[in-house]
Amino acid sequence: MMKKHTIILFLLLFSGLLPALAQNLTLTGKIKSQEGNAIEGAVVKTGSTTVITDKNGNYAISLAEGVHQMTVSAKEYKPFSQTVVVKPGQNALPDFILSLGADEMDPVVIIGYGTSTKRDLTGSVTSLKGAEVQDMPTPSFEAAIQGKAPGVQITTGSGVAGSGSLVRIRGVASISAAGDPLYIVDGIPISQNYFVNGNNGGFNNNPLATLNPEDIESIEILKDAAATSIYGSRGSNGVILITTKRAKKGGLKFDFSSRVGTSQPTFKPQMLNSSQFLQLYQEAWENDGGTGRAPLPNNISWEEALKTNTNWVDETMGVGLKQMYSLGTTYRKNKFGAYLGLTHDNNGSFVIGSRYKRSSARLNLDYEPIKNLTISLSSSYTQGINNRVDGAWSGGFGAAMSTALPIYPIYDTTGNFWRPGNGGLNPVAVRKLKDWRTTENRTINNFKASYKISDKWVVSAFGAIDNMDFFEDIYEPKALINTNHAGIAKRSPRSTFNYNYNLITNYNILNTDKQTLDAMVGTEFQKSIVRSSFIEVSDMNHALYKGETGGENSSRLERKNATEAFAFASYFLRMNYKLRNKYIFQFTMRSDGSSRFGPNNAYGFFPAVSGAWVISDENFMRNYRRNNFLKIKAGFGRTGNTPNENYAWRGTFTPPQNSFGYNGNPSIFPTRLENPDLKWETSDVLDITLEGGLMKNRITWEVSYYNKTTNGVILDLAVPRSLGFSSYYDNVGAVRNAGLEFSFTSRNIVKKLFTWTTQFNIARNYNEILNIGVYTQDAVSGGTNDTRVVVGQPIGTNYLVRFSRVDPATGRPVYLDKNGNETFTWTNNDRVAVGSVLPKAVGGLTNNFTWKNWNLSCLFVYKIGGNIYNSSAKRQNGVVTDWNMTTDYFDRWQQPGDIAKYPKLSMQTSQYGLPPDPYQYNTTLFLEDGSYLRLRNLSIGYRIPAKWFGKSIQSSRITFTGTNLLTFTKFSGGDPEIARDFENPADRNMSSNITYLTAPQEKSYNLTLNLTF
Amino acid sequence: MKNKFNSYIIAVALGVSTLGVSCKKMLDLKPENLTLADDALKTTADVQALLNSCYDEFANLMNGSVQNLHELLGENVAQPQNSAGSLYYTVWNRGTFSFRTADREYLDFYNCILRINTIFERIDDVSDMTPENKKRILAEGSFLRAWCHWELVKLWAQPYGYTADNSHPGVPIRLKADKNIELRSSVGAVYNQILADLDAAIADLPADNNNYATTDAGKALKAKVLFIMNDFAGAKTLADDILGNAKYSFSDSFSRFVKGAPEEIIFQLISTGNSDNRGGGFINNYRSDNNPNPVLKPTADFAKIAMHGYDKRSAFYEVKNKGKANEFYLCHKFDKDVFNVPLLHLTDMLLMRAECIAETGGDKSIAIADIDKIRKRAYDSTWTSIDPLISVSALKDSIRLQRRLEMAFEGDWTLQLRRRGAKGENIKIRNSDWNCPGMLIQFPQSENTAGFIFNTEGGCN
Repeated sequence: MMKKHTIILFLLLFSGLLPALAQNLTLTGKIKSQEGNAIEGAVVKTGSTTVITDKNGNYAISLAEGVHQMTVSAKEYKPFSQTVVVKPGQNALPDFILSLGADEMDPVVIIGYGTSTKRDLTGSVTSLKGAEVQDMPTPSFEAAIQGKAPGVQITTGSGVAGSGSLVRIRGVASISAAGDPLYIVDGIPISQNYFVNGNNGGFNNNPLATLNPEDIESIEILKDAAATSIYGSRGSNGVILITTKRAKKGGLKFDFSSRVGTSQPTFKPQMLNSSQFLQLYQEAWENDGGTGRAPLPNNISWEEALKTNTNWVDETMGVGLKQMYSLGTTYRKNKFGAYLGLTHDNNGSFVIGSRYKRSSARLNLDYEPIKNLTISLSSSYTQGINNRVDGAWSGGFGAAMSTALPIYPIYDTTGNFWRPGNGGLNPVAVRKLKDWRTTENRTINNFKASYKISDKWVVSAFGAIDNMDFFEDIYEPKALINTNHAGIAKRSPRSTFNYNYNLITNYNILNTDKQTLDAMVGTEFQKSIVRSSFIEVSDMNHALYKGETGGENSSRLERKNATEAFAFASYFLRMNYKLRNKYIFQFTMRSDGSSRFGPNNAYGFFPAVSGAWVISDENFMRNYRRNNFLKIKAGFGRTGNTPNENYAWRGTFTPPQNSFGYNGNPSIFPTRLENPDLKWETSDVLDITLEGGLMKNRITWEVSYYNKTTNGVILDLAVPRSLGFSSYYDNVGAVRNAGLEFSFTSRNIVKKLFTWTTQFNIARNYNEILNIGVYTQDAVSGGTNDTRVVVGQPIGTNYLVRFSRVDPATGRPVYLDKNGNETFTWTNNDRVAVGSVLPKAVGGLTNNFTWKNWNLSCLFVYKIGGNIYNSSAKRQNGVVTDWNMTTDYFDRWQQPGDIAKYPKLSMQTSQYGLPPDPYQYNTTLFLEDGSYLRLRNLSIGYRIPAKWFGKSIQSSRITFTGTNLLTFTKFSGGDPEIARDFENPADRNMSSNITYLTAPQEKSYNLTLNLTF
Repeated sequence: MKNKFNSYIIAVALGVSTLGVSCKKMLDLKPENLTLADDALKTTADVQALLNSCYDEFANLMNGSVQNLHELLGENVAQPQNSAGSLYYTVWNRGTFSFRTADREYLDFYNCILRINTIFERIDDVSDMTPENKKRILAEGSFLRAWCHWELVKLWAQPYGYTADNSHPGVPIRLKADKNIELRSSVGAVYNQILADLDAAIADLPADNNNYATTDAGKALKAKVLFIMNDFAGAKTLADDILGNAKYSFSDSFSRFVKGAPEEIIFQLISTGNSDNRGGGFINNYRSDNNPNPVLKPTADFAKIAMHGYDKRSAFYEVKNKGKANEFYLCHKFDKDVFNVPLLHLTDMLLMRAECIAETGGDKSIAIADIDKIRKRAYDSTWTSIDPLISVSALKDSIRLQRRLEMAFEGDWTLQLRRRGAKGENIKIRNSDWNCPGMLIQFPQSENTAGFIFNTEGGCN
């Protein structure tokens, strides 16, 4: 054996000399699949000679006598390499047999407008297979990325059905512009508006909820400029490419899966019961000098209060049931391939009444009608129906944590819903009386045609449409609202029509043994149009989705809102140069024109250069490379971001037909001041990555450093109101993100019966606002305004008055003034930067074990650092008002000498040294450490032996999955993973980790069956 | 053949790229239902419509919203029904701070000024503008700009006379429609600007103007401004002018909040119907014929001086739960669906002239005659004239009593108390000094730019 290898090596070393000495021979061969089918279009390469197989899989190649290293590659097959020895007079080569699948050692990676291999990548890209987001039941696919991609921070919204996640790639660089990555599904940047419905009901609609996780083949997360600058003006916050499943070789195949599960809250708010509430309320009354029994909120009598004890948390949170059924069909024969996916999801949340139902169909077709022409069609239709309930500040479970007091009954003595004096209704009544749902009908379609003009030149045309019809239905009967008739039904339709088309040409300029040079040039146009309206029909007995006929007094109001649109027109270029297969260079450039900027700055230019060096291929590493791999890559480039508003730069007036007028005469007035200088927010990004493989890739690892400086940060400025307007978009200031990422995968044990694989990643991001121009920490306009922008501090800085202690003598809260001196008086001017909602590090640890037919997978995610501000606690555990309190409040001052966490109970703001408003104050008393470690996913699966089913079932598997089973945290207020309801993109950037009656995450148990036949 | 095909592909590629990308028009997307600023002011009608929007904005502020703030700071209204944390609750507690303040009112006054300044800057671009129209439009703009600045300085600054040279901080003066930030000017400078604008307005306003500002409105407003500045001579001169004008006559009814135009009205805000109601700030907060528990109610102290059988104005008030622990009062003055809001009227001019005379030692008989007109209208048959030999001090008391009663809940009384405090009288407002810091509304936090001075907070019990 050893001798054979030595001979081959000897022959290889001298193979370069042989061609000069030997005569060329024409040899024929055939490339086949494992099933014995001929593979057309396979690339057979040896030295500088490359040939392509015909429809019968045959090829002819001219080779000299001697030893040659032949490589064969074909789409959807693993590449194959073999040494052949050509002897005098030989005219045929042995057949090569390729097996299906990607090259595991050097997998194909989807990049912007093309593909690459991992080895050739110069940019920072994380690839995930579809299975990695399908193995965990989450409300939306992006939540399943959590902990699996270094540098990608995912904060799942909450356990409310249909909720979205907050995704941040390598920190956040934008303030008022959206900080979310750009999502591209099969080539189209999809509409991703989280505010299609504002934060109606304390909930943001999730535009990604209609993407069916079962359809996903792979997800690529592009992180640095080398990878994202091809998306130019929208690559600043990273790009997530979603590729859907297509037919593979192998005839007809069915994949069926079904899942059933439950949903429970990870944490139940610990609110006071009736007697506890009365005790604390009375104590506050007496502390304030009150005598006798305290007058209770809503004029409820003590008699009534004492005999009532409603647990509103239990009335609004329970156990939800979930189920999912999916059937995927693939068919491939010769030049035709089809994938058909059908899925139905029914996700009930633990929030009673909250449910998201998704029905999805996808058809992806591929065909090669004539030689060198391939066409593909991808089409999906999804209907998402979200049964809604009020939450957070809007009521429901939010009321259960605040205004719904345990002393209030659900029903009065007559059996009707109990009403407080102010005429409002309790959360149970609202839920039962109000019919509220949103419906999304979304279709994403694309068509692509590629023509291979020559072996070197390919031209592709691509067109796509992403259309989402969203409408919200609300029906409120007479018992709920003030109306003379049966009830009022409202509908808010909103249609988003988004399309793009591009034309791309790829040309192989140079292809020799030593070097290759490829170029890709493209042009693209995208436009998105949003139309919306509002319909209200009175005297209705039901919601409009059940029918539009009302009673005899019915009247209909319909209002069409202004159509909104944006467009991008772009050119782009990418050049890849590879020398000796180990020096790789890439240059990308995109020129973007956007309708969101005025003529002064309509076009932006976004270039990037990057390179990679496969160090282990160097001679000086030859002892190392036998079993190991080492590569360094670096890139520098520019990306951008645009404001979220479509017409932010334009000065506008409201015309007479849209204004009320005065004294019977028409009026017009300015609505926005013009800013023709508004321009792109630009990020200059440096990335250096070292990646390697050890022990024949048993261990692979990657370390990255990046530095991103964002200039011209777009702010919706809270300008001085004395200017006559309250906000104004401008490019103000700069932000820096810098960080380190580390990840490794270790196949610890690889035995036939037992395997153990560990994956770990950690990412540290440093974020700093470098300047905000002439403005102050309160410069950002609108939204919930939970945090501030402070120069020298991260985006999302907790800027608060410091709480020092509770004065043991008086029980009064003691604050620190700006200079650190203790004071009994709270004032705005004593706010300082005391923390940040951004974590210091995030990551995940996955362990996979397989033993015989069993497998066990365990994913821990963690967050280190970052503060949580419990914004509702200041009302739950602050000045006593008409809110319920938490049991945490028991630790309060009661008598002189007490050392307590909370001050004495009081209903008077003056006792707390506050202005007469008990709500508009914040202190560090409610600021906590947001670190946590969470068992995000635990799954145990069993692969059922094929013999159980006979030949009809190729494979089958049953899996039990638990999500969010354990959480370790110091946070006292519940679940530490928090993404509250947001009012605008700035909130999404600045108000993560702020909780305001926010629902906890979901803990779920699921049983899944997968069948392939 | 292949070359030809390749050329075809290239031609198609270039064609599509040109079609798709190079056309700038494809990026020139304009908002629907809005007019671009460059196209908005092309004709006189456009400018007139912009001016009309200034009245609209001003009317939506002076519909009771602003007047209520003055009342909440003062001694006529009881603690409002709003829950803790609401603006009214905070204002009544004289505890506004930059995150809970009247930022809507502050913004809207400046937004009104911005619109006016836009007119000033772009009026010359309008080709069909006649000199007469230009003169009138600019005069009306000056009138409204003066009034807006005045309302701002009354709420956000200590009164005129608080310092001897009036160098204490006032409010930003905005004379341009640009984005340059202006810091607070002194109260003296703000009043100078107000008077300058009013003089310009008076010079060019028309005598009649279909419910819009007139010369007389300019004079009446200036009289009020001078009176608040304790410039009694100046105020009296203008009041004389108005009171001598035959165009106006003293109304028989003391109810000026009506639909229509009582003969004593010099300037009022016009409500054209229920859906165009400019009295909402009063109605929504005081009205009690359809709401047993309105937000704003008279104090017992006010009721004591206002509710007398001989005073027909007592009909405006009602006591509830009389004699019980939860006794409270209602104000029926605004119990209507719709009315015009009188802002400048003869009653005010009479009260002003009378007090000016009393303050300056003028002809007491004129003052007595003025005040008797009001008393006679208000009282029943038991009415008697004021004794001509009444002391000046008692005369002032009588005038001020009538002022408090006549213009109750119209945002006047608190201002008068603060004016008198600045003049040197020992004035307490709800047991606090007239100039305690909390009497000023705090500026919105958005004003926090380098060099901006915020008001001191609290200090009013």
